[in-house]
Formats: sequence, structure tokens, C-alpha cells
Amino acid sequence: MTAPRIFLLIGILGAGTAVETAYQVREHIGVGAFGWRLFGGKFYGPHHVFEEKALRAIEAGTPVFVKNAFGDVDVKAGSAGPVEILLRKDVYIGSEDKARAFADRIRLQSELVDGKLQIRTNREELEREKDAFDVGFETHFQLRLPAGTPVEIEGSHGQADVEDAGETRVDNSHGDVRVRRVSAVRVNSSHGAVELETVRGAVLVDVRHGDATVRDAAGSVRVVSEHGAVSAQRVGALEVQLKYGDLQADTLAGGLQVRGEHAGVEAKGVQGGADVETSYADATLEDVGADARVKVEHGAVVLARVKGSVTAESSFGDARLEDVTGRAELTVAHGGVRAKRVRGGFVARTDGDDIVLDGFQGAVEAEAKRGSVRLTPEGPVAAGIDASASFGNVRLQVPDGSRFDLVAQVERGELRVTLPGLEISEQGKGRLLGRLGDGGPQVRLQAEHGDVRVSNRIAESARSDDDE
Amino acid sequence: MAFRFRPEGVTCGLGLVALGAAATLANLGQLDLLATVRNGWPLLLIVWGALELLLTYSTRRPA
Repeated sequence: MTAPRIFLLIGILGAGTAVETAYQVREHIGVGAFGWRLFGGKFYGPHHVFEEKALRAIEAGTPVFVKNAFGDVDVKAGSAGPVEILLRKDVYIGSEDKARAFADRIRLQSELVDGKLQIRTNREELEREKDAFDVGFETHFQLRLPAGTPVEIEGSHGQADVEDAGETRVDNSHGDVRVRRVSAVRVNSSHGAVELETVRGAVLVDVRHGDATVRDAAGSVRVVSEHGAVSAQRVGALEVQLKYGDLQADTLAGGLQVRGEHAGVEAKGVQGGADVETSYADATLEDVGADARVKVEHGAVVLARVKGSVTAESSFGDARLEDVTGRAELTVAHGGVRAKRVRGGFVARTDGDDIVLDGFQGAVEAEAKRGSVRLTPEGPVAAGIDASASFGNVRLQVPDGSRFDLVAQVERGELRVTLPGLEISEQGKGRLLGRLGDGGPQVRLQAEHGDVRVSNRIAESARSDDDE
Repeated sequence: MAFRFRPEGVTCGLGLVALGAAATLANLGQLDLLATVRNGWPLLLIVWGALELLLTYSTRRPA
């Protein structure tokens, strides 16, 4: 026997063995809903579309429930009469006759059960039949309902689109969900984006692996999200739980509550208060109408224009504040604090960077470890100040008209006080006690391994200019 | 140039033609490719064996 013959014999027998193995595997091992992806899957190749229509009369307000798989569900407002149902069957068989014969086996089912119109196909029964298992077929529903009809959709591998309905509930996977102009909505989605718009009542969204967008919702909004971004615009109170995705919120009629992990937060125009906890990303809040509490691990905090008190904690990131009406209390580990125009008092503790407070009013407590403290009051000092730095300087610029009792102290640095009108009552090595004006609240400045410098604002400004 | 009849060459060619035809029909939705190939591949051995027999007896000279 010659070599070509040997090779051909081995080739034929090997190919036969491979084909037999593939066939046995296909027949005896489940391959999932999409069929054999290696060969393109069930939903691949030439296909033919067939339609089936039905009308179902229901009483006004009767809920409509749609169950579907491998196809879209599109619900819109129609006439006030019966429910119009259009089922589009897309059969992936090359021969049109065979596809039509198969489509005839796909049946539209609609029946009233417990006061609810249930619409579905016989997909589950059909897929249990041996000759139908390998056939890919999509079933797309188009429904026209009386406006305001409550709708419930349970779908997979297809989009769900609802407009002008009543209370709406969608439970969907592997497809996007879009809902517009409904009275209230509840969505549970996995592997698909969720987009909700113009909802008159409450919104509840639970989404995995997809973005969630809510616009123009008059009621409260609650979103639970994993692996996707969340966006909310012009909504009521907003409550968000999210992981591995960022939140962007704009114009909230109520408060904001966020519990995040690995999630950035950006919110503007919050009429109520804000309560935010997140990690491994920054949190930014602007135009908050009441108190704000923010806690960020491994991220920075930025707060601007808060009409209430602020409580913020951060680590491995700075805290920045601007225009806070109430009291601000900040704790930062491995970061610093930059604050402007805080008017209700200020408490800050940092570890690792500076505290810079510019244009403040009210009492101040500032403690910086391995950082400096720089304080510039907005007007004459009228409340107590207690500032200390362990490995950094403490500087206070004093506006004209201030009255206070000064206690300034350094351990290993330089103490320099240049305040016109200051009556010094005690001055020793590294320690100075004095009174400015008629005296008043106590101003206590202390540095362990740094300088303490006190001067009036004009002199300090001129010196700063010279330095520059 | 004289034509030389080689059974393995003919078998290989027929196999390729059959496989291409089956794949085309499968793409047109007329048959299941895997099941068809599974059922039909032993035919290649039969065709090849028949061609070898034909060649053997056609070239044997009478004693």
C-alpha cells in the first residue's frame, strides 16, 4: 500500500470519527438556548418572517401580562377598544415552506387569568419537541392597548418597550428596557440598559450589567445597580445603591441617598439633603438644599453651595468645600482640606496634608497631622479658633476689627506674631499670650514641628505679594 | 500524456464534491450537515474499495 493511500485512509477514518463524536455530543449534551455557537447558533443564516394578529376585548383597567423569550415586546397606546396583538414570528430555516410550516406551530396564546390578560406563545412546549429544539425562532410582540392600561412584561433575550401605559412592571434579561409616559414603573433587568422617561409616580429599578437612566420622574426613584452607570435627571427623591458604576444626578426635587462601592458620584441641584457613601472614586455634590453627609474611602470629596451643614469623611483623597451655609465637619486620612466661604463653623482633621480655610465665619477647630493649617477669616474674628499642626505650620491672617485672646505656642519652630494693637501679656520661649481689642473668644494656635505665624490680613497679603 | 487512473485521487475528489454539495444544501436550509456527513462518510470507503477492485481486475492479464 502506497503512502498516499495510507494517508487517505487515515484521513477518511479520522474525519468520520470526528463527525461521529460531534454528532453524539450534539445529541446528548445541552447547548443552551442559542444552539451551537461554533456553527453560528440557531439564530443565524436565512430566515423568514410570518405574522399573526389577534384582538382581545378587555374591560378598562384590566392588567395585561406579556411573557416572551427571544423577541421584543413593544407596547404602545392604541384605540380605546380591544387589545390589538401582533405576533411576528421569525423562523431561521432556509426553506420558506419549511419555515412557514414551523411558524404555524408557533401559536399566540391569550387568555384572561385572575382578571389579567395573559399573552404568550407556546415556545416552551414547542422547544421540548425534538425536531424543534435546533430551530431558532424569534417571537416579537406588538401590542396596542387602551392608554393607561397596567402592563407587566416578563421577557428574555429581547427588548421591552412600553409607552403611555399605567403602572408598569418589567422583568427582563439580555435586552434593553425602555419605558415612557407611565404612571409608575418597576424594572428588574439583567444584561441590558434601562431607560425610563416621564413617570408620574414612583420608580424602582434593579439592574445588573447595564446602564440605568431615569428622566422626568415626579415621584421617588430607587435604583439598585451593578456593573453599570446610573443617570437621573429631574426626578424626585433619589435613592441609589450601586457597585462598579458611576452616578450622575441632576435636579432632584427631594433628597439624595447613595450607597456605592467602586462608584463615582456627581450630583447637582439637590433640593433636599444628601447622604452619600462610596469608595474608590470621587464624590461631587453641588447646590444641595439641606444638610450633606459624605463618606468616601479611597476618593476625594467635593462639595459646593450647600445650604446646610456638611459632614464629610474621606481617605486617600482631598476634601474641597465652597459656599457652605452651615457647619462643616471634615475628617480626611491621607489627604488635605481646601475650603472657601464656610459660614457656620468648621471642624477639620487631616492626616497627611494641609488644611486651608479661606473666608470662613464662626468657630474653627483645625488639626493637621503631617500638614499645615492656613486660616483666613472672612471678617473680624468673632468666634473661637483652635488650630494645631504636628509637622507643619499654622498661619492665621487677622482682619481689622478683630477682638480675641491669643494663645500661640510652638515647640520646635518659630513663633512670629505681628499684629498692630496686640497687648502681649506673656511672652516666653515658644509661647505668647495676648489680647487684641477688648479681648473675646480664645484663639489658640499650636505647632509642634513647625512655625506659628499671626499677622493682620493686609500685612500678610503684602508679604505674600512680595514672596510671589 | 497518458491518463493514469488512481482510485485514491478519484475518491478524494468525489469526497470533496460531496462535502461541498452537502454544505451548500445545509446553508440553503435543505439538510442537516452534521447528520448527513455522519450518515454518508462510510460511502467514501465503499467507493474507494470498488475503484481499487475495478483497477485490479481491469489490469490483470489472463494466464
